[in-house]
Amino acid sequence: MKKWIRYAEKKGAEYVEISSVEGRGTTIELYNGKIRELSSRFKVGYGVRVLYKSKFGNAFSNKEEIKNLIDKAIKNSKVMEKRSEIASCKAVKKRFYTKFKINPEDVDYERKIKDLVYVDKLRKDYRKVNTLKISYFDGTVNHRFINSEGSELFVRDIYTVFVAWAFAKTRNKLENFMEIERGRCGYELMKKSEETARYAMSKAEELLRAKHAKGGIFDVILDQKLGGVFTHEAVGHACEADLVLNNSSSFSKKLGEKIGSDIVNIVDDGNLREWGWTPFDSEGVLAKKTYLVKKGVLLNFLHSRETSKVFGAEPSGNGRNDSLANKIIPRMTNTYIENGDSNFEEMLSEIKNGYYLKGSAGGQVDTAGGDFLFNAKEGYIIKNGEFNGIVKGVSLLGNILETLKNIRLIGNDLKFSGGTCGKSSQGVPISCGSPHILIEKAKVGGL
Amino acid sequence: MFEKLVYFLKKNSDMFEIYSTKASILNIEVFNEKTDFISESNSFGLGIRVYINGKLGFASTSDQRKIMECAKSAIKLAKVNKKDKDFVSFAKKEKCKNLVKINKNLLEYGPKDFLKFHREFISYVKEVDKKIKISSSAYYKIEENVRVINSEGVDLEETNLKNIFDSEAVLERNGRKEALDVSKGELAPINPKIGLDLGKRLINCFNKNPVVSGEMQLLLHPEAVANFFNECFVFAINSENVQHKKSVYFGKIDERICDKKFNIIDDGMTRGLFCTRSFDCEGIPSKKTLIVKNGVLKNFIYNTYTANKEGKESTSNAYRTVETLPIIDCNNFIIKPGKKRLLDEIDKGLYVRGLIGTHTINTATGDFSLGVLEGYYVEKGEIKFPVKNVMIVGNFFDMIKDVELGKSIEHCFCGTGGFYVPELFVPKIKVVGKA
Repeated sequence: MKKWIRYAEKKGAEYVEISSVEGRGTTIELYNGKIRELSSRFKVGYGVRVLYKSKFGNAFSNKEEIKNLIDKAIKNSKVMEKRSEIASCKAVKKRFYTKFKINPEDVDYERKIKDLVYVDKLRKDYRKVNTLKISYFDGTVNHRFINSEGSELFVRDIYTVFVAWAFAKTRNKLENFMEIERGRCGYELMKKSEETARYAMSKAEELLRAKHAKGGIFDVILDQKLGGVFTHEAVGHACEADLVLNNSSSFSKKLGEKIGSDIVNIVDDGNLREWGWTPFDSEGVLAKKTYLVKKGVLLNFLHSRETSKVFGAEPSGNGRNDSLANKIIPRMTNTYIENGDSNFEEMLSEIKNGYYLKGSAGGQVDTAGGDFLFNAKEGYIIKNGEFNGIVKGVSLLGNILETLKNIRLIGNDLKFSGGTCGKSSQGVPISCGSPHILIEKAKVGGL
Repeated sequence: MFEKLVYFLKKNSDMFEIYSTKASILNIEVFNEKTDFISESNSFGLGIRVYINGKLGFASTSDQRKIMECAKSAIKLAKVNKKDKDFVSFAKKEKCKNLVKINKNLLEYGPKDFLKFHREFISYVKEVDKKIKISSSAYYKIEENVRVINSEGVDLEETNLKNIFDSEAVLERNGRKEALDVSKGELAPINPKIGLDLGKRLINCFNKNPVVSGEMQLLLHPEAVANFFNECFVFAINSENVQHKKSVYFGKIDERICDKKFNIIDDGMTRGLFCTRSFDCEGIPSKKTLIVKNGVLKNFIYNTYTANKEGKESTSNAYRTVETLPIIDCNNFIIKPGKKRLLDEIDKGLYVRGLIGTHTINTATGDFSLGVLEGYYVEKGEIKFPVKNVMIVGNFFDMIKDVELGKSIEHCFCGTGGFYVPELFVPKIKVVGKA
């Protein structure tokens, strides 16, 4: 590979990156005990990025035709209008490996099928569940990165995912609940499969009894999952430096300003071995712990090397793309609210008339205007500090800056959950984390 | 290039299917009105399904050096799999007409053409207000060659060419900032005049006001209609979801499911529409399927597997990537228009174009509570002001039981890309606004 770096430099490139990704994996899907899919996949790709006369050019192929890719990338750079500079980085040579107990590749297909069939049979304990879809994915990805500054990086990443999606039905009602367990880990994750499937099935049944929530302005407690999604959607995206630069973030002119209540500390850290683990980003920058918000004050944005240069900030290891063919842009990794000092019972007792909202059914933010919406999987009415029945279909609409100021209590029970974050048509693995949080005067949507 | 593979699969399986793609993609991104990303990518993909002794196996690869290994993996998986009594066969050979004509102008369209388009697009936006900025745009030109070969005599090949353009415009006025998107997918080069409409919509977004919570009338723009139907309705008419009793329309064929003004068609074969193709991802020639007639459910959409399970024929709705088994999705999704100009119907209500959080709609049950991103308060048929901080709440499947349909249809780039739908008037919706 190194000879191609020299080739590109000879052709006049100021900076060159060559990356390759090789991935393989298995998928097994069961519908009510019957195997819907049993498959294996193998993927390979090569990407080149050059900076030529201060302009970027890119090319991708799944053939190992690096010379051709370099020629194409240089050709493409000539059509570019924008000149780019990148923040300087030290050359790094390092290798990273996922920590795992059981390599999924050492577990044969028969055993995997047997384990999934066992989980499926739990259906008999849930009389109203008429369909259970179980999905299992595992994979190994080898990602290599070299650049003309002398960096040589490698990661062997192993992941395992288990999904249970239960549908419960009575004569005229249909409800569903999906629960996902995933990790940058090995087959040991499947120890949690029974618990995960049972949770999905019992919640689908419970939702059959749920009423629609009453909409309006309420005090709410968000659980760790929904608190995490709030952190990600409402704060994380608005901190992405590219959005800040083109004025489509509501934080654009707010660096150093107080944007939230004193107790709010928000961090992004790709080092954590959660679902958003990114030991080095797509530009070969090592992961870093970055405080986005400290004591309510907006401290930092998330950067690629290019935005770092513009802001005069240190590269933060957040330059990512979802495929070597796509543009590298600032993305989150593992983003979370730090623990506070309240406990859950204390928070509950603070609420006279409100909701406890649990789990995430997705969210979206309009970063420029600052409005966000996210949907809870389960909601519970709180009356005078006590739970008073389950409700469904509850979502929360708010404005980032208003809501951050309305965070009154933060719990001491931080937890992470993984997901895929979509931005500019690219999906990357991320995790978000939070303790329980109490938000005052939130807008809750319900029938 | 597959002779050796076909020979090997004939010898080692009872039935087989090869699905392969070759794609070349031009991707250009513009940031603050200057291009800042250009990439060309070429990719290959191969998915092999085999059927051996009543059992299925599936493997995929993007590495041209690993074609035979991929076939061997599929065979190995079939051997460890359990018998599938519902599988009958891969697609049978049928006569297949060529329905796709590649647009020559688009074929020759390169980075320089795009840059010219984008400059014109920006000048159309700024014709409305010079201060509007295009914060980011993304362009994809996708040329994809698909080939399906199977043991039943199918050997079909076709090349499709599409281009997709997204852009966000931002305007700041008196310290307030508003942003709006446009998203287009077309089979020919895109007209830069779409910038004019984007600019006009954006300047209408200022001076937003809240509305009071309560029940009111709702008019949905075709884009919002397409989003709703894509999230809920397409799930409910998907035969796999019906067979697994995940769909609210299970057992409802020949029953009234929605307003009798609805006539809905899935159309894979009308030339020139966005999703038209000569054959689907399993090699079934494209068809036209009547889904709803006068509010009565007539058909679900099928691939060969779900069709065989019911002794029916596939409706040519198989979609897939090489990495996945064929799933079921809609081709061109067409709702026939009504007769009225619907804005005039509104006494007091909302006109909604952009929604926030449409992917949070509960696909299976249809429950939704969504934020309004681009919407207006309307009184006596007249738009009064843009709204802010408003949610609409309801159930999709109940909502479509009583509606009026707008008198023209628009192409909306949503889901598989080919939604052709009118405006929809809903007489009563719950709105959460200010107290």
